[in-house]
Amino acid sequence: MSDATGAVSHERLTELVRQAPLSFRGTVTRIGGTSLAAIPVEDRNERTAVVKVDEVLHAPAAFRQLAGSEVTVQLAPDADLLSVGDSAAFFTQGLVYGEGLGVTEIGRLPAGAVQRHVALAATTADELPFSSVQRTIRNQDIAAHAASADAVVLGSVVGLEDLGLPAYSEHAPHWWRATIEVSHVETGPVEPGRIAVLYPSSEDIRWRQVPKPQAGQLGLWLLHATRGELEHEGPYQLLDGDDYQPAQKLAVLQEGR
Amino acid sequence: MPTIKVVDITPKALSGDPLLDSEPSIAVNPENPKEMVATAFTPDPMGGSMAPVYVSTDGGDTWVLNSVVPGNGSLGTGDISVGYGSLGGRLYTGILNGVTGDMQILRAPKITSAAPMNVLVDRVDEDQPWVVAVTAAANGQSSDRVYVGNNDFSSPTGTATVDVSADAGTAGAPAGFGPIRLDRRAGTIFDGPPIRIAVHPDGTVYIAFMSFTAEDPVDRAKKTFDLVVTRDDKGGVGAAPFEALLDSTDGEVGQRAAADRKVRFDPRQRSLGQERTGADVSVAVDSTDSNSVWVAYCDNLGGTAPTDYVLHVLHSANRGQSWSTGHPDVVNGKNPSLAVNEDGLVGLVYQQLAHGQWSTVLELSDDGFQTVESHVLHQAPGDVPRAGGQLPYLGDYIRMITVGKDFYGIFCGNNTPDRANFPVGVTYQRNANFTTRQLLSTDGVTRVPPSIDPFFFHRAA
Repeated sequence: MSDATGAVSHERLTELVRQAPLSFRGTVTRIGGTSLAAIPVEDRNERTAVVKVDEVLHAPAAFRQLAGSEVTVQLAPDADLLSVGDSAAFFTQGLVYGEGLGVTEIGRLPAGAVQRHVALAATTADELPFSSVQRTIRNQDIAAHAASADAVVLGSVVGLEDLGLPAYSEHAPHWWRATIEVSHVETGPVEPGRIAVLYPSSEDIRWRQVPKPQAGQLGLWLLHATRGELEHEGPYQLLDGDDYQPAQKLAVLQEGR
Repeated sequence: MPTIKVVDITPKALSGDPLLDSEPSIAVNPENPKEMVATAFTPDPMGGSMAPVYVSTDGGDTWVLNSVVPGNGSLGTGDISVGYGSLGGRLYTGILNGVTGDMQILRAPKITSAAPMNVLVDRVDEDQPWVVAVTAAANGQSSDRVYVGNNDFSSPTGTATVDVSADAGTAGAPAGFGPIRLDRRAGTIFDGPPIRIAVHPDGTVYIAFMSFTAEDPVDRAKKTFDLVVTRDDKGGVGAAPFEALLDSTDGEVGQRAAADRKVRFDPRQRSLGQERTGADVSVAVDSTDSNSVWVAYCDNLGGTAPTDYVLHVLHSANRGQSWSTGHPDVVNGKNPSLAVNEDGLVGLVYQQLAHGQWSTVLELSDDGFQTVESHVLHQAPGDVPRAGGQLPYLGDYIRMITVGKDFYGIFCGNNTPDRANFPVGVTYQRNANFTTRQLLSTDGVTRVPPSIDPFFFHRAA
């Protein structure tokens, strides 16, 4: 929570940014009215606030240019009501995407509570004030994902081959086998040396996020034990978009422990 | 005079969208054609747990996203298709869940509601569910009869399947849905992804699919297939469903409308520009005469180069028993969608790559395509935007349907705001400058690179 001066703990801010995909500093321009047709008239009340976005604090790429525009905010049921002219930092998730944007409030901080981040971001290469908070969250997520992997190794790709399995669906994975020369074992029952790793080579929408090892590629590989009928083709698989990380992330994992 | 409108359905609030929102589907509420639903590879814009559909309540002029589909993956939902019952406004949806990959059949009592859709069926190892819904009336009562074509890879041979419910409207899961295997012929290796359905009000139901019968032992992508049409005369809900049409040569269930066709089916390969090929089928029945049925399919036969991908259209006037050429071949055409309006006017929409440009073409005819009303809805360079690592590029299908005399459809394409790309005109909701040919973000200033958007079209009688 924020204290009397408006300062907010790093933990609370990280929690809010993790929960809310969009945050911004804004000023209330109307209460109870919105031009968004998708919000029914009967749902518009004292908790329906139209807010002018003064500054985007963090956002998905498509919403980073919201500054200057008006957003309809459905205030949280337990949050304090607002008046025209009030300013705050709003932490929100999407509600309506139409002729304008409507969002649901998840959390709120005094505008002054985020001023330090706004000022600091202006002195860095960060695109948005909470970019550093998002990096922290990203590193936490990678660490959690690594903890769920069966092995985490540092190594280079030294071989690639098609398993040649029949595939009749447009969404078939088209399994290939990568041979990785392991130079460092961070976790898991793996010895330095060569290891076989299966991966779906298909770029179909079902598999496109999964890393496709390239010849000579060095990196940190988060491996999952192969189960079922593919087990004899290789002991490990890549299955998730985060299963490859740049080698530098090894230090991040180690620092996080 | 008929009018045509084309609308980029990406909402203004998503002006910053840079994604390839491809592979569209559309449904129009027959009771209230102003209400319609469209789909594409569109994820929830803020990463929520539900994937969105596009909803319009003003005849397609404006659209909003409504995130009510279970399983939001990185591209939203896989292989989504939609259909309304004729009465009652219930929407049915078939998806490959964006998180699990399972095929799910869903129902929404009212799609403008924010309530998540109900899951009626959930099965693994399936592909490309395709929804067609009607409302059947009997003894003063009506019920939603819903068909979901799908490709069930748990079958060791013929995989073409349709799930049918005679009364899907209100019952709890599975709401009467049950799978019916369509391909009964020995010798099938597997069936292609598209299982397409056409329903006539008199109870006639046609289903068309590709039955793969052989593959080259060296280059396994080279395959041989039959285009098979099955039929049921009692809505697919009686005994021995989809056995009404026997092949005139081998006597097996399902007439081979085209046999021993050759096609390169390799879903990994960008064989037509940046797009993959090998699995295109459409079927439509004449609403004025259920004996008259049209099919469209593609193969690698009939072009001028071995790599040409050729779209063929066939017509049968005797309930699918015999077939003749129904339309000139379209070289390097794909994504056919056929529909017939209440006057018997036949519509064909397809996408064609020629001279480096993707074109989306709508043709209409009331005399078997002897004379044709033709419209280029969209044309744009085929190398913009770059596909990156995404397949399919434009999508494995587009869709057109009719309500009364009107044709409604959806396709995906390069969204560069250039009037020259839209010969019949276009309306954008997202910010765009047609003078500088630039997409602009929510601030109306920041440039957004071209991507793929879904485009709605409506040909009003």
